[in-house]
Parts: sequence; structure tokens; C-alpha cells
Amino acid sequence: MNLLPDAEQTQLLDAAVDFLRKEAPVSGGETPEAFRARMGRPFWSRLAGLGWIGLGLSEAQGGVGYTLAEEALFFREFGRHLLTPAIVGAVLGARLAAEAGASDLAAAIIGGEALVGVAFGEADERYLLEIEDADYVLDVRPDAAALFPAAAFTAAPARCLDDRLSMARGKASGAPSAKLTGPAAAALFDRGAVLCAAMLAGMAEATRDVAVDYAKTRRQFGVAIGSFQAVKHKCADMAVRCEAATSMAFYAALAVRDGLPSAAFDASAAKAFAAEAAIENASVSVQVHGGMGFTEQMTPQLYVKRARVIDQLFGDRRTRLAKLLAEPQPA
Amino acid sequence: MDLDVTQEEREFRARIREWLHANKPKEKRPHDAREALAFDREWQRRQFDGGFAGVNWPKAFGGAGLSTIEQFVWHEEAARADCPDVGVNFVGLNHAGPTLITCASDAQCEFHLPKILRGESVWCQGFSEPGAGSDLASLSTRGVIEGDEIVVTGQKIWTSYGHVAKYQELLVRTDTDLPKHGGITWMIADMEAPGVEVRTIRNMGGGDEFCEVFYDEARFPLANVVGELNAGWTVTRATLGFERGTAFTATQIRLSRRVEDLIAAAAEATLPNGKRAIADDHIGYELARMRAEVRAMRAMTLANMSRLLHHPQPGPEGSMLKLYVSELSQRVNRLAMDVFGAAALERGTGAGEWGAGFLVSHASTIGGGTSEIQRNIIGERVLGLPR
Repeated sequence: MNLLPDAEQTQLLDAAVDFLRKEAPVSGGETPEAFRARMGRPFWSRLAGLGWIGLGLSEAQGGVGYTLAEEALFFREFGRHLLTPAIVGAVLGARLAAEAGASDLAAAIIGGEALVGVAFGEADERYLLEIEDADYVLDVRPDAAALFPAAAFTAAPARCLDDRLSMARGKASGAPSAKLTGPAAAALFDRGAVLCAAMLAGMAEATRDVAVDYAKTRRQFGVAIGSFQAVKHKCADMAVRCEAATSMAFYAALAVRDGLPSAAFDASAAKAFAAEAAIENASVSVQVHGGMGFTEQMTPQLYVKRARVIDQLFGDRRTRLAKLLAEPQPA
Repeated sequence: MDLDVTQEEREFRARIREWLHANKPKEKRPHDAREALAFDREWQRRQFDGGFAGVNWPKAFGGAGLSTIEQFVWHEEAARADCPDVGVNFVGLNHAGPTLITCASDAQCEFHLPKILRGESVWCQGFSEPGAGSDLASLSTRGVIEGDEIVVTGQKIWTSYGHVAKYQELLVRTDTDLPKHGGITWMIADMEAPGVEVRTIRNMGGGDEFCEVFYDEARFPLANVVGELNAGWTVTRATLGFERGTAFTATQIRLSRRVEDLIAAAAEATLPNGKRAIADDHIGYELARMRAEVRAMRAMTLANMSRLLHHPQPGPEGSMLKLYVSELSQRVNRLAMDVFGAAALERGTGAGEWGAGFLVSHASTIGGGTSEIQRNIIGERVLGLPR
């Protein structure tokens, strides 16, 4: 038993963190258009070139041959850096295509040539995230998972609360390019929950870090505000939520990877818990930043919005908690 | 990263299960502290004879010489089998013992550790004072060196099981000229020494295992000092690290069980509106949340253990687990009051047990360092915020 990354995983991760720090810094005050231009197709190709999309797929499936554990480690960093949820669409879309036998499609997604948006929401008419530039849309429900060509959706444009993301509303008509049903779909739904949990844990950590940095430097009454218990204790609670959310996300990644009997339980616990942590930490981080936190220039507000979006993917907190209560207690 | 279970761990778990099935106490732990003393000691002795006392303590001192993972497995299985809590042996097993292993001389370890494991000597804690609670380092109980003795005068408080304990981990001020963290010494006190007087305090739950201890020129051998004279704060940090990092493992596992018990009870309990408690939106949501929270707590414990495998002495990170567990435990008990409603008010019934537990749960965010102190430690020593 070891819940911490080993030497190989750390090395792998260090390189990724390096790249993200240089190429995907999180900054407030950027217009959504400028941001989207910076993170468009050329960036996506580089990311795919690093092997990140196929990271957890076997070599036979055209992937790099790592597992959900490494994917979770990466997604935590993706969360910190607010990478688009299209990365979830791509990673799971490639898996869906590979498992459904559509290996050409899998290869196109892994190679970064085909971009994948994500469908979500409970209704028949789905919300479509990051569909603007997408070639495919991943639609995963607990009982059915499908990869549709983007053109299959007659999409009405909509604006997302998180204005760095493109959104639309639409219903699929026509056949999917690849699909899974039954236990394979349920497994993909839970795998998505684990990736999102890791992402949310990373987001909770990022908002903790900026709040702590700000509390160390911002001075009032002649001292750093972090010396006040009213602020310090908020930061401490953020740290505890991070520790729990990250540990749970990694545990769930391993439980799902290894097919433990508690896998479904752990995926739900991880997703619900991490969403709570990311949502709470983001808003507390705004508060610690005071008036500055309310401005567009600072980063916490970006996480306030993104946390609400990721909460809705692969089962929001209510859905996940209801599932959790219906599961038997893990042995 | 892996959740692999080794063949040895699997066999160890099976062995525990089998042994507990045959050997766990059949009767309930008595409420009265003195009756509980005999019960706890007998249960501890039985664990020792079975080879399960001090699972991760060195073999040389009577332990099983296994890892913290095996110790965790023991706690999990003991909770699953609904074994009684360590009770009076808490301080010896979880505080004093690990501190002695880390900081004491071989002679001290050889004398004390086997006695703790065999249930022969009960320990209590002598840290807090009426004037030194959260500000522990301001303690003023004096320890004056006279020849080869320390003469102790002063008062300690919140000493659980002080009236039945044989030994005490005692903090005294041996130098009043040094800065406050500098003049403290960590020593072993014999509770039966002349000049030591113990009085019990009734707590809000009605229990009286809680004590205050008075020292009137009580004399102890200088050889009872653990670590260096005046270097007691370093030893104390080790003790508190264990308290916050690993001592509550069993408590955490019991808390998971308590959440499951509450879920089962909520499926039976009826609210005034005639609905089952679990069907209530608020209660159902909170119960599910708590299920996720105890699961995350377990993952956090495993992450903590993974760290301990590399750095055996727990650091300030332990405060995160301590804070999390204390707050969660209290919330679980508060929710229980809503689940059981009026029935929780009748003492001596199943629901009334939850009511009593709710009262006692107020201690969880105070004992072992208040939640506020844990937040200070996390803020300052984990996050590096200014004091």
C-alpha cells in the first residue's frame, strides 16, 4: 500500500508540471477570446504530442501504457492549471473509441487531430461543453456512453457561466461514431468521475495556494493578514479539504484501476468530496483576497466558475451522494 | 502508488480475524472507571498473550515488530469485530509508548514498554494546567533538582484516568530563566509517590474519568527524565505528533462504523412527520456526505501512513487529520440527534446512547489540542503563515 507517487511517477509528473507552468500559466484579467486563442488547436497538438491524451491507454490501444493512477496525477495538475474539460472528453473519448473497436477514431483523438467536446446535464436536451471547435462530442451516462460526430447535434448557442468555456444546447440525432452500453458505460461514467475528482482536488489546491500567498503578503493594520486567526483558520480549513480530497481521489483512482469491489463507491465518494472541496475553497479564496478577490484580475474567480462546471460532469454532488447512499458499505 | 496487499498482510488479517472471533471480550465495557480498569487491563493482557499487543512496536520491548500498516489492519479488524476501545490504556499505548520508543533510554524502554503492552501499568497525561491550556508552553508546575531527585510542586488538569493510573507523562518547568519553551522537562511520574493527590472532575457527559492532579513537593528520581533536562519541548512535540498523527487511527475506524450504524438507524427511525429519517432530504443528504467524508478520512489516514513509512516521526501534517476527525465526529453526533429526535432524550435506551454520545462528542474538538490550536498549527507550520 502506498498512496504517494513513486519515483517513476514523480519524474513523469515533474516534466508535465514544468510544461504546464511555462505553457499554461493561470492568469486573471485575460479576455475569454485571448485565452481561447492561446489555448486553441496548436496548443492542443503540443499537448497531444506529449502523449497526455493516450497516457492511460495500453500500447495495443495506441496509448502510452500507464494507468488511471498516472492519469489522476496528471488531472490534478490539469485542474490546477484550469485546462479545459475538453481534456476529459479527449481522454475518455479515446478510451471509448478504443474499447468500442473504433481504433482509427481513437488514434485521431490520441494524436490531437480530433477534438472532443463533452455533453452534460440531466435532460434529454444536453448541454454541450467546448463544442465550438470540436469534431466529436462525448456523451456519457451511467447506462450508455457514446461518441457522436459534432455535426450530429443541432446545437443552439448558449453562454456558460464560466466564460472561458464555450457552451451550447442540443440533442443528438443520428448514430454515434462509437458507443458502449451496460457495465462498460457505467465503468466509463465512474472513470470520468475519478478524473474529474482529481481535477477538482487540484483546483482546491490551487485556490488554497493563492490564498495563502496573498495572506502572507497583503498587509493591513501593519501586519500580514495571514497572522490574523480569522484568515489563518480559513486557510487551514482549505488545506484540510485539499488533503482529504486529494487522498480520496488517488485512492479512488487505484480502487477503480484495480477493480476493487469498492470501486463504484470510491468513485462517487471521490467526486462528491472533491467537488465540495473545490467549490468551497474557491469561494473562500475570493474572501481571503477581499475586494481584489472580486475583481476579474485575480485568479480565484476563475476557479469559482470552473468548480461549478466540473461538479456537473459525470454526476454532480447530489447524483453522486444518492448513488453513494444506495451502495453497500465497502468491506 | 498502489493498494496492493502483501501475502503477509493478508495472512495477518486472517489470523487477527480468527483470533478475535475466539478471544474478544463477550461482555460490554463497564461504565464505572474502576471496573473499566480491570476490564481494559485484562483485555490488553489477552492481546499481549495472543501476540497482538504493540503490533508496530519493536520486538525487543515486547511488541510484534511489524509495520504501521499491520497496526492499521489490527485496528480495522478490532473495530469490525466490535471490540472494546483501549480505554485506560490509551495514553500508554498511543502517547507515552511511542514517545518512549523515540526519545527514551534503553533502560526506560525496557522497564516501561513491556508493562504497557501487558496491561500492567496504566499511564495518564500531565500536560495541561489551569493556567496553561492552549498555551501549553506557559506551564508553571515546578521541577526542582535536588541531588539525584526532581521535586515537583504544582497542578495538572484534564488528566483522564489519573485516579487509576500508575504512571504519568509529566511536563515540568525545570528552569525559569530560559525562554518558555526552553525550560521544560518531560519526565515519568509515579502516581503513587507521596505528595501526589488526584481528584476527579465530573464532565458534561456524567463521566468522572477526568481528573486534576496536585503535586506537593513530590519526589521522583532524576533518572525519570526522558530526553535531556530542559529539552522537554522537543519530546513533547514528538508526543503531540503521535497524538495527532497516529493515536486516533482506532477512533477513525470506529467513526466509520458509527456512520454506518447511523445510516442503518435512520432507515428505521421515524420523524414526527411520519417519514423515515433517511427519506428526509436533509438527513439523507448529510448521511451520504458523511459516508463520503469518512471514506476520505480513511484515504487521508492511508496517505499519512504512506508518509510515515518514509519519515517515521509524524510532523505537523497530523494536525490536519486530527482537525478533520474531531469536527466530523462532532457533526455525526449532532446529526444523530436529528435522526433520533425525541427518543435521543431518554437515557438508558439505544437512542439514548446516541444522546449520551452527543454530549461526550463535545470533547473531540477540545482534547488533544482544540480545533483552534490545530488550525494555528496547520496555518503556521504546514502553510507557513506568520504567527
